Parts: sequence; C-alpha cells; structure tokens
Amino acid sequence: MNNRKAQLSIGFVCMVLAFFITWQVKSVYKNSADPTLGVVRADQLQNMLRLEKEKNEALYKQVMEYKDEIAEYQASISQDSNAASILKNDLDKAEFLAGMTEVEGPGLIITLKDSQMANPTSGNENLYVVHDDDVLKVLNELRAAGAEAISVNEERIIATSEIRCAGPTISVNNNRTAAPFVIKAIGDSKQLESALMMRGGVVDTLTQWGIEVELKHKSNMNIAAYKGAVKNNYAKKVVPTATPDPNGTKQ
Amino acid sequence: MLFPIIGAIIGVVAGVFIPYTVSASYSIYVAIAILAAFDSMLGGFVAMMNKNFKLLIFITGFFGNAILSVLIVFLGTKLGLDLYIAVGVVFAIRIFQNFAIIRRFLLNKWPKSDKIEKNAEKKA
Repeated sequence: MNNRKAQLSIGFVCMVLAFFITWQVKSVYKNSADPTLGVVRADQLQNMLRLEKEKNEALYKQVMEYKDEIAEYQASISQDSNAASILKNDLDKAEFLAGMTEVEGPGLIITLKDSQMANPTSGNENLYVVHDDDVLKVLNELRAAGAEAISVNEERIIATSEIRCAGPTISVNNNRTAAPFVIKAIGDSKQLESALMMRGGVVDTLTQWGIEVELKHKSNMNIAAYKGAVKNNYAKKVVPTATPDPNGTKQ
Repeated sequence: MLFPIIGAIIGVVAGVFIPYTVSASYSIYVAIAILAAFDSMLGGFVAMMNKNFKLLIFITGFFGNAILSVLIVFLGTKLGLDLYIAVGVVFAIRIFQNFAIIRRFLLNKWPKSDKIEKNAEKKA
C-alpha cells in the first residue's frame, strides 16, 4: 500500500530529524560550557580574568619578597667592609636614578580627564578623549622642564617604560590604566607648570577639545618605585678594550 | 500517524544517548541538516495528503537536499561568504509554504461552517 510506504518513510525522516535536533541541542549546550572553545560566555571570561589576577598578585608578592631579600643581602654586605659600603652607596644612587626606589619631594600633580562636552559638534569623538600621545606629550614637557621622577597612575616611568594605546586604556610598564590619568612629577613645580601652560603648548591644545587638565602644586609628595622586574636578555655591556681604533685614525 | 511518532521517539532517545558531541565548527552543518530534514518531512506530508506520494522522489529529495545544502554551506565557508544563511532562508520559506498547504488541507477537511455554528451555540 502506497500510504503505508509513505508513512514509513516519513517516520524514518522524523527519526533522523528528532535525532539531529536532540544531538545538536545537546552539543550546543555542552560546547557553550567548554571554556576552551571560541564561544565563551562573559561570566566565564570574568572568572578566568579573576584567576589570572590572583596569579598576578601572587607573583607580585614573590617579586616583593625577592626584593626584600636583596635588601637584606645589601645591608649585611655594607656592614662587612668599608669598600662594600662605598659600592652600596653607588648602588643606591643608581637605583635612585633608575626609579627602583620610592622618592619624595616637591612637585606637580597633573590630572587629565576625558572631555565632558555634550555632543561634540565635529564628528570625531576620538579627539575628545585622552590618548596615549597626549600623555606622552605631557611627559615630554615635564622631562624638558627638569622633572626628576615621574609616575602615571602610580606607574613609575623608568628608562624602559612605554606609553602605548591599548584600546580604551593606555599601557604603562605593560600595565593597563584608564582615564583619568594622574601624572605626578617631582621637580620645580613652578617651572613644570609654566612648561605645560605655555601659549600654544600642551595644555592649550588639550583644553581646546574640552579635555580637563588639572594642576596641583605639592610641597611634598611620594612617587612609588618601579614595581616590575628588570629583565635584560639581549643587551650586554661592552667592555672597552685597549686595542687600537680599527680605522687607525686616532692615536 | 503512528510511524512518524515512533520514529521521533527513537530519534530523541538516540540523540540523548549518543556519546559523541558535534564540535562547534560543525554545528552549522547539523543545523542545516535539521532544516533539510524538517522540510522533507513536511513535503512528505503534503504529498501524502495530495495522494501523489512517490517513494523514490521522497528519498532522493531528502538525501539530495541534505547533501546539496551541506555542500553549499561548505562552499560558503571556503569562499568566506555566509551561504548557510541563504540555505536557511530557502528551507525556511519552503517549510512555511508546506505548512500553509497542510493548514489549508486540514481546515478544508473539517468544514468551517460546522465549527462556527458549534461555537455560536456554545457562546449563546
């Protein structure tokens, strides 16, 4: 009978259909619970972030412990002999210059905030937020005006520090910080201020876009030490040798 | 109507107890296969109602559509074009059309006027 055949084959298709639907639903449910796959839900990502942060904190604690250890060694060495204490003094100076120690002194605190202007008329909203190069320009002016120690959002600026765009945030010493940016600089605060407030200078350009720049003079403030570890894997010190100049021009 | 229901129950049981899962990259293909199977099922019902059901046409349609749609989706991923959307739209339209035919058939089977009168009596 034709009808029976039809019913059988439709029944078969129904079976396939039901199988695929249940299989697919089950798989999609399982896949969404597997964090190694591309489709990861926000809360799982948040959880992963939290775990990474905890790891980070533990590592930071370890760094601090090692630093304490080094300080202990240094203290014990300087007690041992006179020559060592001279070396220790040199080391202290070098650490001070490199930004490895917390420093205090008079200076200026500069706060950069994103523009509060409602509905910017010229379409580009990018002009109304603080960017990495704005912070860089401020730092450059501060350095030019003789700032001796600078930090951005408590990240000490040292010889290897970078200030780089990282999406909506900027990365300093490979740590991300977001606006408002608090820049602390130790130096002659009057000189620092006048360097920034110059006509046509940094603050002038930034305030045009409504970026809020706040300056605060401080008679004494602290700037934190560099928190990270110093790596040098590639650069090696070149020891000057007594061999004559290869060009042979100088004697 | 017995065979389709039995088939569906067997399918659900098999789907629940199968130990493998579809990996995320293949889930599009399974989704398209689901649409193809659903379309074939409704098409079979329509043919049965019109009393022109032919087994060979049904079987070739089922497997042919499924294979062709999977091939199109595969081609889409190779071309960087989301062709699965096109396949999905085509199947969805066919499903709606088949459903419309089934609806009309069922509504004509039980004359409407009887129902309206019955409802009127109930309300009165």
